[in-house]
Amino acid sequence: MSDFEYLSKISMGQYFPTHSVIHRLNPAFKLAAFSLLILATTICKPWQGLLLLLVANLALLVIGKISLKYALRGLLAPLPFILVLAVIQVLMISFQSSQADWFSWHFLRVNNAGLISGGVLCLRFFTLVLMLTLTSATLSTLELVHGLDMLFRPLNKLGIPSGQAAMVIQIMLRFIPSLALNAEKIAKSQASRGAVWGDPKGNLFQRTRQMLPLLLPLFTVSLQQADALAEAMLARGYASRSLRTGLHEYDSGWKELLFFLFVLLLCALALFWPLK
Amino acid sequence: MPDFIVVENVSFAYPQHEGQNHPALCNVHFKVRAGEFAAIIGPNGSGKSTLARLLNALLLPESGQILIDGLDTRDPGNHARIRSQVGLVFQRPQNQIVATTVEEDVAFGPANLGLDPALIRECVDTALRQTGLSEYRQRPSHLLSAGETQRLALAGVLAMRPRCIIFDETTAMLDPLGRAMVMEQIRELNHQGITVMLITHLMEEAALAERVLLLHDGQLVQDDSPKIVFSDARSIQRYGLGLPPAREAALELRKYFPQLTPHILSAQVLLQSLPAFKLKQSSPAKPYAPSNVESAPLVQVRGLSYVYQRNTPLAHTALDGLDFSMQERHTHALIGATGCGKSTLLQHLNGLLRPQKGSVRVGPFDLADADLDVQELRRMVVLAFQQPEDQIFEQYVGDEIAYAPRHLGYQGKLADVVAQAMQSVGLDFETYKDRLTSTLSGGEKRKVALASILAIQSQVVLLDEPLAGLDPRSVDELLRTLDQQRQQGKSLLISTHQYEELMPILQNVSLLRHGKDFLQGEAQQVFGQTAKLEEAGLKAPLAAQIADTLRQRGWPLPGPIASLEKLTAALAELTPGKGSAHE
Repeated sequence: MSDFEYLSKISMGQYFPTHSVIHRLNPAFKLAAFSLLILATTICKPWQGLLLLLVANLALLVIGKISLKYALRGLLAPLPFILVLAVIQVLMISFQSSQADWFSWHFLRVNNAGLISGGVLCLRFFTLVLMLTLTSATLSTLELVHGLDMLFRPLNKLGIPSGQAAMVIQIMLRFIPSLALNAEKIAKSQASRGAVWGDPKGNLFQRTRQMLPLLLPLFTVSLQQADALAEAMLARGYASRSLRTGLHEYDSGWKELLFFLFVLLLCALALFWPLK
Repeated sequence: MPDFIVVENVSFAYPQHEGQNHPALCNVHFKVRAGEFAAIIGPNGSGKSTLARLLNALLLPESGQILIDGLDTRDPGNHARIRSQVGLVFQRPQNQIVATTVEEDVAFGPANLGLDPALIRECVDTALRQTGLSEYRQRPSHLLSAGETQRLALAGVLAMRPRCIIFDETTAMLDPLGRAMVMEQIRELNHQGITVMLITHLMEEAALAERVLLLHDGQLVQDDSPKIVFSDARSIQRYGLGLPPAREAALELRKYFPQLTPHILSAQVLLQSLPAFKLKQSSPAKPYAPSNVESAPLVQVRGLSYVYQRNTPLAHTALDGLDFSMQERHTHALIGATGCGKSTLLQHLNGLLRPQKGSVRVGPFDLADADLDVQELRRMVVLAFQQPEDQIFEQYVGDEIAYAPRHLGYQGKLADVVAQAMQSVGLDFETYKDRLTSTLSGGEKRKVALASILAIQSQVVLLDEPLAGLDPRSVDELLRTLDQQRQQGKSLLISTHQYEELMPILQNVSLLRHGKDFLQGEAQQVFGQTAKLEEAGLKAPLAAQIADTLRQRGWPLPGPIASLEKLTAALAELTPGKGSAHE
């Protein structure tokens, strides 16, 4: 495997036009539903609820015809961070808990309370990453923009331009893969000139200095690209004041309603587990 | 016909840089009728791109005025209409793509115009059909090939139904087939009545226009038909430009075929007007004996395969059982249509990629060896990507060039190494070593980038598309530098679409197709095989096409011929008394 393929390591931010039922839903509903799911995952306390959300998420990936293997690979990159956080969580909570220990050494203790808490943390992060993958795989950036535009349109009355804000987000998303490609190209060029990254020698300043050959060109190239893009957008008649229309007309029917109700129910179940 | 574009005494200067206020355009004055096809030529920095941006109201004239269909560009109220009437296609297509899927991107322009969704759908469908992208409508835009991305950029402009399209060096990054397709498209659009302005460095493209505008130093120095603009080689060279290859060849061939008219500008006309063989055959064509003095190759690749993003839904095969070898102290070109695996092969040779299957040997190094000392390999083999000037990061020119030798090691004093590298690209050590890299011009940056690669003193230099986007004078300079490097003992491997310009310094060529080796050998021999080149989606050099046509018309030309020098030498032998007598 190559050290330079940054693009293949990012499964978030990729859109897969598989034309599934989910893809065809009204983006405003999709966006609202996914936001609710992400919110619920973030604040859900019981592990049963999280598990329910994870299962629902996997089911949605399947319905959306997104390769599960590919979606799961996206977990690999943040895995070390999540594990470190989980270990800290286990030790912290175990230390505070009065439950019987499975293991103890000086102040390091592991007990049920800690294990459950660490497990919940892992579960929460996994579900979040998969949710984001699902969102980006089934919601194209233009849909995202239209969705935001529709959801935030009431704010226009308060003088907040929902259309412009939505465009900013669209472009940011559009350039995630291209940023990865640029980084790959620059890293390869500089490696050809003898650059070595991640050399553990030296202090923080020296190590930062090592990254300059990668970071500076990446900034310059990105700024050039932003400049060129702005120019191309203007040349194609983009002006923030004019009223934009779109290629797609979205209508909402029973499918949207059903999907949204399903998600609401799911969130309620997850948040208020166990049911009384 | 009414004048569609009126440019009246327009001057423009960019905001001051380092105290120098050099006007980008100075008193430019011309008119373009609706439906015209005009080319704009001129060396780098002559104001071509500035002019394009002025016509689309991206920039506004400092003095003078520009009218588009009677609308003044200085009135912001006109901008929406002007921009929908004058479309602009830029050089780097990937920077013009706004949306993540093809059809959504094409819809961006019409949506900006506030059109009805049903009408937008119609515009998008037509534009996709015109550019042959109908089947790609749902594709993620960043996964298209270079040629497809360029077509997408054009579709995005076409969807706005413009009356005029300006192409700003649109073909510079494409392979010959992609370039020919874009040119064909441009001509067709023009036939449909769209006014076309084509900015280009390639004179054969300019020769296809009805009218050529020549810019030099911000001034419009010539505005005439291609026939007249390209009539005088000396005046065009004075502006750092050359003649279209067909015209250059025609001038040369007139020594042997005086019946050729002197105004030939296109390869097609030249080939058609070549005469049949009438002389008595003095001697049969000598059979061609390839020189078979092969020493052990410096680079040896066997059965190499490589799949990008293996085990993902995006996996694609770049190399598929490729064999390749390269001799020491040769300049070797790597050619083939976009996506044939050229740059994947290059990246294997200095250890950026490791072989997934097959073997790669470079000098004493085996790339499949897990314990390979990659830094040691990179001291021997350096790879320069497209636009190496983007990789500059140090504050001072001297430090930038010293970066690689500092990290990879060098012999002698560092200052000498840097000075030598600078000298070989034509930069003076004392003047430039303490210059800030941010204040360099585009041409200087490119030289610094090249020097920073040559400073490694490596044995092998790999270059990826070094000629893309260069004007004719810069191409000449670069070729001279590269050939000197080879004479000093380096081996060069150059991946390129512009092989015709590279011909004078080439020894060997490998032609790749679908990740396999398709044709390899001596340059003249490979380029002489016009049919095979076409099969691989490339165009044979003009001299080879001429030789082919002459053979079909009975001329007993010897051996493979792919350069004008070889062709004229062969003709001189067949037509004694001509050629040299005329000189």
